[in-house]
Parts: sequence; C-alpha cells; structure tokens
Amino acid sequence: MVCQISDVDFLLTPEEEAFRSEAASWLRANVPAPGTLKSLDTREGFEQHRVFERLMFDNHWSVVSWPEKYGGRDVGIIEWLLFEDEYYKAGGPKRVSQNGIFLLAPTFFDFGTEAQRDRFLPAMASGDEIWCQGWSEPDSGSDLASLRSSAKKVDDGWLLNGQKTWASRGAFAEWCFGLFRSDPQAERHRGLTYFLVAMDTPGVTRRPIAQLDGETGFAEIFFDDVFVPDDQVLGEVGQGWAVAMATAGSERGLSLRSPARYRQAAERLAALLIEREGSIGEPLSRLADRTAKAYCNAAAYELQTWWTATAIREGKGVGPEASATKIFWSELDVEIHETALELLGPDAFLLADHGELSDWLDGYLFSLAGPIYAGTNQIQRNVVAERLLGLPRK
Amino acid sequence: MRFSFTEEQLALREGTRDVLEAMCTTSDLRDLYESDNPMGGRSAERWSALSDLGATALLASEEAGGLGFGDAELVGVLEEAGRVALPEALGLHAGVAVPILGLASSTPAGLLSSLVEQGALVSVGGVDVALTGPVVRQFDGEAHAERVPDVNRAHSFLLASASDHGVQVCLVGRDQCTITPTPGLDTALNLGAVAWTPRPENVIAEGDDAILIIDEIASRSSLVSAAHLCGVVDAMLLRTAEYAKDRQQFGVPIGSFQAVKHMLANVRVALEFARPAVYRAAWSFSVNDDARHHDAALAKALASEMAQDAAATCLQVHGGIGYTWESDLQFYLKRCWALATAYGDAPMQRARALSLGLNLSQ
Repeated sequence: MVCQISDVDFLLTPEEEAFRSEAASWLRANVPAPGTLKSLDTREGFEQHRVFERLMFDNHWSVVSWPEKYGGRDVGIIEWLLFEDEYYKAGGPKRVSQNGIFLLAPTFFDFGTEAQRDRFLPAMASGDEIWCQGWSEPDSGSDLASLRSSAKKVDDGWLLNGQKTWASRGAFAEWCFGLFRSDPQAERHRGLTYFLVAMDTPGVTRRPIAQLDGETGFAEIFFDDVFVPDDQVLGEVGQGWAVAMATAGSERGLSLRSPARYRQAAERLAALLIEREGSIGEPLSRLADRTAKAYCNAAAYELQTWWTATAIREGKGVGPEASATKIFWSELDVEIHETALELLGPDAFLLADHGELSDWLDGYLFSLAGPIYAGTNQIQRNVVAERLLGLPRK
Repeated sequence: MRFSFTEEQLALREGTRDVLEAMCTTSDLRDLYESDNPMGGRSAERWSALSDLGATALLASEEAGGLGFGDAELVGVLEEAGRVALPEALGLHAGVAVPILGLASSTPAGLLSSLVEQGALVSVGGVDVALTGPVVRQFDGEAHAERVPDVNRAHSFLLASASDHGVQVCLVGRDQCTITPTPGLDTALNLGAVAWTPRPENVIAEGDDAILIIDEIASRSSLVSAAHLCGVVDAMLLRTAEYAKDRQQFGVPIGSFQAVKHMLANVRVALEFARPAVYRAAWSFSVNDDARHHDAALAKALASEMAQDAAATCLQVHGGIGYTWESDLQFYLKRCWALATAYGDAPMQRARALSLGLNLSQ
C-alpha cells in the first residue's frame, strides 16, 4: 500500500509529547479528588476553586498559552489542547476563572494596552481577581445591540448607569467587563464602549439570581453613577461592538469548550450504557443508538477542533464557523446528558445523600444553559445561514 | 500535529474540479438518466479524462504508472466527484481496488500497471459492512455479489466471497462474469448483480490474507462513499441556498425566513463536522494506522446521517419543484439516498465506531 504521508499528521512531535506527559503527571498529582470541592456557585465552593487556580498558577499551568511574563508558558494552540485533554482526563474541576482567562484575556491580547495587560492579566491568571461578564440586559438578550446601559464622559473617566443581567460568576466576582452606550445619539452597534469595572466601586450593586439548581451562579448588576477611569476602557471609545464580537468569537468557538470535555463525558456515557444494558449488539437498542450518536459527535467535535486549531496556528482566523461550532458543542452536551438520564431511568432525578445533585443531573442542568448563553442557538443558526450560506438578512 | 491540506493538495483538487465541472454537467447527468443506454452520455470520455489527470491511479505507485499519492489527496478528489454527482465508480476504483491490488501479496506482477496503462475501470463487490465486521456472500459452486456499481462500464471486478475453504478475493474480468443489471433509483450508479466461478488464476487472496483484505475493502468502501457524500451534500446545499435566495414568496426571498435558514444551517453544521472525520480517516489509511477501521466507521456514520438529513431538507426547501423530474435536484437526492445506506448506514456505522473506539465489541 502506498503510505506517503501527506501534510496531515496526527502524530505528536517529541516536544508536544513531552509537554503532554509533564501536564499529565502534574495534574494527576494535584487535581482534587472528586467531590472534595463544593459547587463554584456557592461562596465556599467559589473560594475552594480559587485556591486550586492559585495552585495551578504557581506551577505555571493555569494559562499555558499565555506569555511567560503573565504566568503562562508561551506554548501554542496544539499544546493548549493537549493540556485541556489531560485536564479533563484527570477530572479537573470547572474553571472558576473561565470568563476571564478564556473570554476576556484574548480580548486583552488583541485590544488592550501594555499597561492594561500588565495590570490585569497576572491577577486573572492566579485567580486573585475573578471576572464576570456584563453584557445582557433585561431587555437586551439575543438582541444585544439594543442595550441601553449608558456611559457618560466626565473628567478623567466615565459615569456608568444601567442594569446588566445573567452575569455568570457575578455573585462573587471581583471584576466585571461590560458593554455600555457611550454615545447616546448612536444606535444599535455604534456608539458602544467596552469597560472594565471593579465590583467594589461605589454605585455597583449586585443581586444574585438563583438558578434551576437553587445555587446563585449568576447575578444582576446595577450601576448607579459608577465612576470608571479612562484607563479602564478596553479598545477604542465607540468601538465596543468590534471588541465584544472578538470576545464572542472566543466564547462560541475554540477557547471555551475543549473537546476533551465531551469525549470524557461520552466515554462515561458508554460505560453507563454497558453497565445498564450489557453489550452493544444487534438489534441496537434505542439508547445504544443514542449513545453511539453522542460518541460519534464527540469524536467529530474533537477532529473539527484539531482542524480549526491548525488553521489558527497557520494564521487563518476563525470566522462565522465559530457559530456552527457553538451550535454543535452545546447540543452535543445536552445529547450526552439526556441520554445518560434516560439510561438511569426514574432514579435520574432523585437527589443524592445530602440533597446534592448527582454528577449526571448536575451536568444535565449545566448543559441546558449551553444552547442559551453565548448567543442562543437560534441566533447562531441565523449567523450560519447568513454568513456561511449567504441567505438574506431580511 | 498538523491537520490541514497543502497547497499542492488543494491545487490537485482544483484541477479535478475544473475537469469535472466541464465534463459532468447536470445536462450530462440528465442525458444519462434519460438514455436507454446505461453507457450513454460522455462516460467513456470522462473516465479517460480522469485517467489522463491521474485521478484514477492516485494511490498506485509511480512504478505502476500511478501518482504515488496518499489518501488525503484521494478524498479531496472524491469530494469533487461528489460535487458533480459523478456516475462513474471513481471511489471504489481509485480508493479501494487500486490500493488493494497494490497491497495484496499475490497480485500478479504487472497486473496493476497494466490496468493503469489501459485506463481500465475496476469496480468492487461482494462485501457488506455490518456491526461486527464485513460480511461476504455464500458460495454454492458459484460466487455472487449484489448491487455492484458500474457493472456496464467496468473492465473487471475486485470481488470477495465465501469459498470452499473460508473466504477469498478475486480479480475477475467482465467476460468471465455473469452480469445482471439491477438498477437502483439512482440509475447513474449502474448497479448490477455479478456471478462468477473463481479460478485459481483470478485469486488475489485467500485464507487469513483474504480476511484482512476484506476488512480493508469494507472500511475503504465506507471511507470513499463518505468522501463522495461530503461533496454531494456541499453541492446540493449551495444549489439549495441559491434557490432560497431567488425564490420569492410573500414578496421576499424564502431564504429570509428563519424556518428556512435554520433548516439549511443544520446541514451546514453537519458538513462542518463530517469533513474533518473523513480527512482523519484518510490519514489513518495513508499511514496504515490501527484506528483506520474505527475512523472509517466514524466518517461514514457522520456522512450518512448528514446526507439523509440534507436530502430531506433540500427537497423541502425546493418545495414542489424539487419533487419534479425536471429539477436537477434529483441527481443529488438520489445519490444521497443510495450512498447513505450502502456500505453501512448511519446507525450501524455509529455503533461500529463506538464498539471499535471503546473496544466494546460483544
């Protein structure tokens, strides 16, 4: 057989292999045992997760792809994916700092000043300052460009007024990044500015919102003449929409959702199927088929991620394909968890010993938010149809 | 780790696209559909153009007169074949028969180069793909294969069957076979039943060798049909999106309605995720990776599921016109239906991928 190796190559280089094994051994030794951390949507759990972020930071594992001076290892996207793979294999906890390190940080790298990066990135990487996202408003969800929270220019800074909602981590975070209308005459996407706000600034009030599971994972944030100095504007005044769309690209696309997450979950699902149904044979049971579908989609997601990562490494940006990606991972997550709950049968919705959610139930509730946040999947389908297929907006 | 095509690979693909778009237009397809002669239209001319391009012998070594390329080049070419709903069995010939003949130790010396030299089309039959692995037909003194593509055009057939002592793989000239056309809804595929009496000089592999080769035939058939389907769906989706931009109802293009947008977006999402799986499987074959059977099952599972959904969606978006003989959409719909179920349908292939992936075989 002709075995010419073309430029597709799934073999890791020795450097990549060494990086992977170093990450794996550190994580195996340091990831907290399952069940030792409380939910990060509780005050106690939030602080426990922060301690783990600090431990990772001290060992240069919290933000591997960042420059060394901010606490990273300056490695590329392939190594980042390898790290993520090992993180989920080791059973690493949810990242309490994810809004900062995965969403805001890429925006700092693209739009921030040197001084802003020096000031904010190390504390973000260590978990000393945890960020929440102030985008949605009560009347501006999918239609983000209709937002009304305002920024008024004053000497040396701005006065913010208005209300933000659905701010994940907003109940406990130290900082908030958000979009405000800085030009009251401008409409829609124009006249918006991206601000960085300390949550202890006078005039900021937060009101935690209890989620489906009863925990306060997100919050409403009220701004009442909140003063923000000029050096806490990210990007240019009036260019907030462009800055925000860069953040949204990170949120929908690659940087938030590591494929390892879904592969691990799909493998746990397959183990559950075998435990419940014995083997996979013909005729295929309905749940064996659903499990197989979830498995295949998780594998497909991983391959599409490597494909995208190579494109990114070669300098090709991720465009509207990020919307296709967001639809895929969010619906895959629901599919995996729904199938698991069906396999568990009527027991699936029972609470565990101390009234806690089982892993599958907790994961299910978490997955249900996926098609809603980061731009609902209905909006993403519009983006795919309009920007990848050229269908008319109106 | 690198997962992308090179400039050369993309150029080969572009070159193939230019030739195919010129030589396999929808009016060529229509001629074939409406002709009494299954060899009608420009089939012979097309095959020789593909041979001149080297597309039919991509995987043959340079000594055998081929291009000495790998499967990554192959799947790009096969996607282009799918984009024009190519009738000829390019995938089975170039992606199954040629590499198998190059691989089998008992292939007579010079056979492959002679086939390449003649520009002969070798079709493939006798292997079905099942959850637990490939299945061959029973042997009753004569061997049988069903739904073999391109029976009218093939110069010879790579055929697998049971035998008196296990299984065997033969290369049989068309004059040594009894061929009965069994046309499918996609008449361009030229399906037929083939019966033959194995002769020692035809045997390419038997015994354990044949078991391994039949595995390769099964998985390679899955891969080439998955690659073809990616091309078919790509072309069908673009065609349907164009239609949705042109067709007006309520005074606006129907493509401005969210109900229509979301249906078509789903097809685009499926394509986004099926393609890398096809490319990965191609890589696995090119380096003979142990995961190749798993990867082929994964690729075919995703492509079959995508093709079924895409066909239903594109027909619905076209509305009444899509249901007519007059519409060219039929060429793509019928190819989707035929190939989504051939060589393992989606439920079977995904169960196979899961079993192989997690080593869960029963």
